[in-house]
Amino acid sequence: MKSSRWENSFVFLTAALFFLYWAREFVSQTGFFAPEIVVRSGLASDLWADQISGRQGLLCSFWWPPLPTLLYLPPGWLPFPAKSFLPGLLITCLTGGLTAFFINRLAVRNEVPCWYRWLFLLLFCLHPWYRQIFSGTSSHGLLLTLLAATFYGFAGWSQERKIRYFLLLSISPALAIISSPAGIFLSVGVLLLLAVTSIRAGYPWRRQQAIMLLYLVPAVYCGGLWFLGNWIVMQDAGYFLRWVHWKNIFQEIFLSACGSCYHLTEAMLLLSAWMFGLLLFKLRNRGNGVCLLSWLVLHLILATGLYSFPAASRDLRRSQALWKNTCHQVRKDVKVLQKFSREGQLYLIDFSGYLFRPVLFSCPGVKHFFDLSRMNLEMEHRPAYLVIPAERWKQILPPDPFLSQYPVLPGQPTDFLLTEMVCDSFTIFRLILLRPKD
Amino acid sequence: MKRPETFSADYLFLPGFLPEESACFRLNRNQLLCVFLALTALTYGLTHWPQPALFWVNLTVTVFYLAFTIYKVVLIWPVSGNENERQRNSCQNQVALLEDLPVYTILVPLYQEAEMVRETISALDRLDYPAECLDIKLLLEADDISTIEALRKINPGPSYEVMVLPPGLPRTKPRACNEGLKQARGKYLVIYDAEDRPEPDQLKKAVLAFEEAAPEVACFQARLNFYNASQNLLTTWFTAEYSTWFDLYLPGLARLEAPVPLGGTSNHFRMDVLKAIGGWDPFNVAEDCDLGIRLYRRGWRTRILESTTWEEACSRLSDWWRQRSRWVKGYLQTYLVHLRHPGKLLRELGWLNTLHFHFTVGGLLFCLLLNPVYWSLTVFWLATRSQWLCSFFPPAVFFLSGFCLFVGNFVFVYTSALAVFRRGQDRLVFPALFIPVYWLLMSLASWKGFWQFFFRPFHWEKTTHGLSRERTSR
Repeated sequence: MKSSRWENSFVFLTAALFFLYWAREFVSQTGFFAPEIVVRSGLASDLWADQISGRQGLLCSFWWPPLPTLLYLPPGWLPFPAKSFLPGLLITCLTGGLTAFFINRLAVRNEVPCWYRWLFLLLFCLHPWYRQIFSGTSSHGLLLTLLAATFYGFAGWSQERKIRYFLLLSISPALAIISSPAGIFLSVGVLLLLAVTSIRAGYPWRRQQAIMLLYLVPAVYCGGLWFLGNWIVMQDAGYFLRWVHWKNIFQEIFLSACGSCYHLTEAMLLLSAWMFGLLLFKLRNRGNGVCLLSWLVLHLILATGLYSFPAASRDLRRSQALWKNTCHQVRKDVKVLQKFSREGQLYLIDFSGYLFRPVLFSCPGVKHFFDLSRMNLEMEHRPAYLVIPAERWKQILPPDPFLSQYPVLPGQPTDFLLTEMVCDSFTIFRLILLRPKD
Repeated sequence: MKRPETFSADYLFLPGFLPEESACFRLNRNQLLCVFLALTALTYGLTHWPQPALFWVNLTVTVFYLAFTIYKVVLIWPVSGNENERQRNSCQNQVALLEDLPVYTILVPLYQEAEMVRETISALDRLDYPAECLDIKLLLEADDISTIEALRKINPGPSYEVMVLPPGLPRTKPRACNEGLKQARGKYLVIYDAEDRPEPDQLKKAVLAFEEAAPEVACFQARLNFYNASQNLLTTWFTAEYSTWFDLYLPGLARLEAPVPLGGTSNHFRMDVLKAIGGWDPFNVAEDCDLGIRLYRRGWRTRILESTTWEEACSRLSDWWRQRSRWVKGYLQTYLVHLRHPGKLLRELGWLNTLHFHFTVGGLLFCLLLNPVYWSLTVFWLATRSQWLCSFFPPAVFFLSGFCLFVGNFVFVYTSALAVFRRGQDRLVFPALFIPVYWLLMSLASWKGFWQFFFRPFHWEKTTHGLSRERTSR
């Protein structure tokens, strides 16, 4: 069975429009765009402006992988107003639409009846988990798209052995690594799956080696590029791993993704189960047992999706309310920052600093930095302020090179003093010029 | 070298061939004027506004690289959905049913191949085609006494005809093929090199393919690959390159109905068409590529034959170097020959196919010549972090260049590995990942070819065959 172009386009457009609507709904509920869209738009505009903050923000954190930011670059080139979040919305539409497209293609390939295909498409477009992920994030949205592409590639490769599907199967998990921290699990999972299916298919050992090698090469290359980028921009190839706590990596990836409560684990599991169910559906002719099992799995997935709907809706409302409060706080903080920016230079530190950018965009004295040791302060004639998110202060203590360049203690032979000022959601440090003692 | 009108048309060019379409002179007056104007503008720009001039040159090259990368992906994508084996098996069933086979002419140009002729004959003897329907012409140069002697000793069967060509210049393979073509009597014609081992059913497959093809299809190019792929790293990379070219790019071109630059051997032609367009250009050292484009310009089409001819890859760097520089020189000749009248080219090919021509012939050439420059710039920047260099890469250009460097190059490397994987040459997958080293060699050889284009344009650098370990051990 082949899906028609009409159906492919329809599925893509339907999902894209749905998620566009949810993004708009998000803005109307909270009064602000989703934090990741704001941050990545800011990073992309810094990259276009050829600022060091853009390059650092693109590469310097494991928790903010580079691919979604890179996706913001092409639409960022279009002549939208500087503060526009249209690139973010385009990516929301693209990732949501493509995910639905791959799910539908796999369902059609495996001859799932039309009724179930449309039901799951509807569930996918309406379910709060996916609403939240696609309209609220770029990295997790992209991860789900790549997950769907991987499954589609896997199905095609295992059924037809065409290299087009192998390309999808190998490239998608590799891109997932530089899309979202959870992408590593996708990559490892598919590696195991591929190993098992290669052994089961009875390939000669050399063929199995070639398959594994071809699968691993894009992943290693993507990871290698990330290291290389860090070496070029941050002068430290492993810089982006500084704030990774390997002991708690699983919890950090799945529970505190981007500091918000996205149901990434559940969304990934449900999507994976659906894709597996579709694969199983292809085997239904192998006997009544498999047939029954495939139907059971599909119904179970639908039931799970429907059952989780109310609770997920409540969670979504709760997280939106939380974000609304944060936005409210940001607005208050911005008013404080605007006062400071009028009299001096503001140095915003870390990704969350970008949340102030849309409002502070017109302020001339606002600059962004990620690594204090590479800061070059321009404060000859104006006071300078470091603005650091309150919860991040302990992690971003000024490093030794910074302190040696801008010593904090009075009486030191040169220059500056850091004094602390705690506001609601961030801390301001004023850097004061000291007169050396005669 | 003389201008074309001073050559004896009877001797060098076959009826139907237009000397203006020959590589016997490099550039016509309009081309010389264009080159002069371009160089003057560039020199003037670099001396008066060096920064903007270099920026625009850089931007142009970057856009070209980007377009070339996308173009290659567009070519490969439809072919990546093909299943070779299934097609091949379905074809084999039909081949077995073929009856009333036509006479097939096989041209085998031989020069200094005394060591190889025995294998050549045995490979041709293995062809599954009635001997009475074969018209095999072994084309020999008059002064190649050793090969003539070797053939006399072997005394091949009645299907074979040994043709000793009259002495003359240019001493090239296409000139020999033209001589063979004059006396060919088959309905179809194919060329094999001395070291070729075509699959036994290739001729039957070609007959079947011609019978089933549309009337405008005049040529089938069989896939070429190497039997000594694992001999050393050079042959491995060469195999990866051939697998990519003949299994992915050329089928992609054929599928898009674009002009196909033919490979050096195993081109199966309809005899009437080949004679009508005047055979090969004896002055072009990549006569195969030229003929593929010329066929298309005269309204004929080329398809890919689902059969492989196994060749011997150059296993010595010096041999490979000579062969590669000759190919690049030939591609440059072909590109310039067909650009002598760009308006006519556009009318004959149309916009899209003109673009195909520019990318497949010119694009490949420019890539090979430009690559070392950009690789050097990258290494220079990594070593020095020069701000001066950064000024030529404002964000838009930098992002595009970065895309070409990191994504484009990866696409080409990965494609090479996938091509050998698709062919089932699993042990070549790992070495294929290091093919950028081979690209470097290709680029260096290309500069030699470029140099030769000006100083030894018609010199045919002979490739030595019979060096493969497989043969030696036997």
